[in-house]
Amino acid sequence: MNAVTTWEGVDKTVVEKTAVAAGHPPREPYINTDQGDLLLFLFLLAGAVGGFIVGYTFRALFPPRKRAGRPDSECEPQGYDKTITD
Amino acid sequence: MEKQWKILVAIMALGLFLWPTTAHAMHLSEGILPIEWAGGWFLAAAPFVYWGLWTIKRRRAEDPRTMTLVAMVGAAIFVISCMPVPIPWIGTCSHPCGTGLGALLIGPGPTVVVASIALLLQALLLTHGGLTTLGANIVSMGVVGAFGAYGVFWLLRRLRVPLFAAALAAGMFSDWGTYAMTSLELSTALHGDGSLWAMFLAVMAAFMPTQLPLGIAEGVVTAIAYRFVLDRRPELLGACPDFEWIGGTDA
Repeated sequence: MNAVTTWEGVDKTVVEKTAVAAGHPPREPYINTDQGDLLLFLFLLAGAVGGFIVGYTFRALFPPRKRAGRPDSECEPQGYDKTITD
Repeated sequence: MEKQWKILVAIMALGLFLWPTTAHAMHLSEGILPIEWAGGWFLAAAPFVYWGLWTIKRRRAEDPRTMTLVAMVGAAIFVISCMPVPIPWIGTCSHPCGTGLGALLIGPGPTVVVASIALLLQALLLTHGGLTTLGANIVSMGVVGAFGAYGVFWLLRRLRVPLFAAALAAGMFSDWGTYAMTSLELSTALHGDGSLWAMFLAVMAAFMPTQLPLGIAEGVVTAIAYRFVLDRRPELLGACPDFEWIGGTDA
């Protein structure tokens, strides 16, 4: 399997290749979390925390539109005002 | 029907979580730039970060709601800029930037600040980018991505280009501009005795097959998201003092 079919990032196929050719390859990160499944865990954690913040603030900024059976307090614009302006 | 959409989105989100490969792309890795160039890019980024912090502080004093939008944009940029997107016919992965959308929603200065925080966290925790190359990455993704998108949007709106098309072009330029700046950063530091512009064009050409489609996709997403905010909460954009100036209200 060649490099084209390995789904490598362009950092490998472009940036790193260019840097190595110029005699200035990347060095080991100062904090190397690329060990075993640690990086996998951190990516998952970062995605979950980032996703939570996006979802929470999105809900605060864009409350659901009014629908039958939903209390007014959960719908815009009251939800927006109550949540944000305090 | 709506339930089916929710299930589909949930499955796609789960898929992203179950395939969290390391996403390196435009970020310059640790040690790639010689120290004098790395320091230079820090100096270049500093005034933009300072201006962004000052803008956030001023807007926060005027309207505390601004901070919720800034937080949402910051978290979105963090997630988007470490998400690898596979390009099937090329066989490589790269990531969008999100700074174009950020610039249209909260302005370019605050976008530089949230992009800097995202890049710092990625360098510290995810081996994504680097601490010595942080300044260069802030300039390419934060400064060029945000100010480039903002400038394109402003110019196109001044030329009476429809809002959706202007936002789409801004998102595209943000992505392509970021990678063009990365190419320039690499080639200025590493061209040695060779031609600077030959190396710049070679790096740009190597990025192009992956970034051309990704930039178009980022432009479409930017336009849809901007349109959504304008429809649902135009006052959020109105909180940005530059909004009327860039001609968003007459869409």
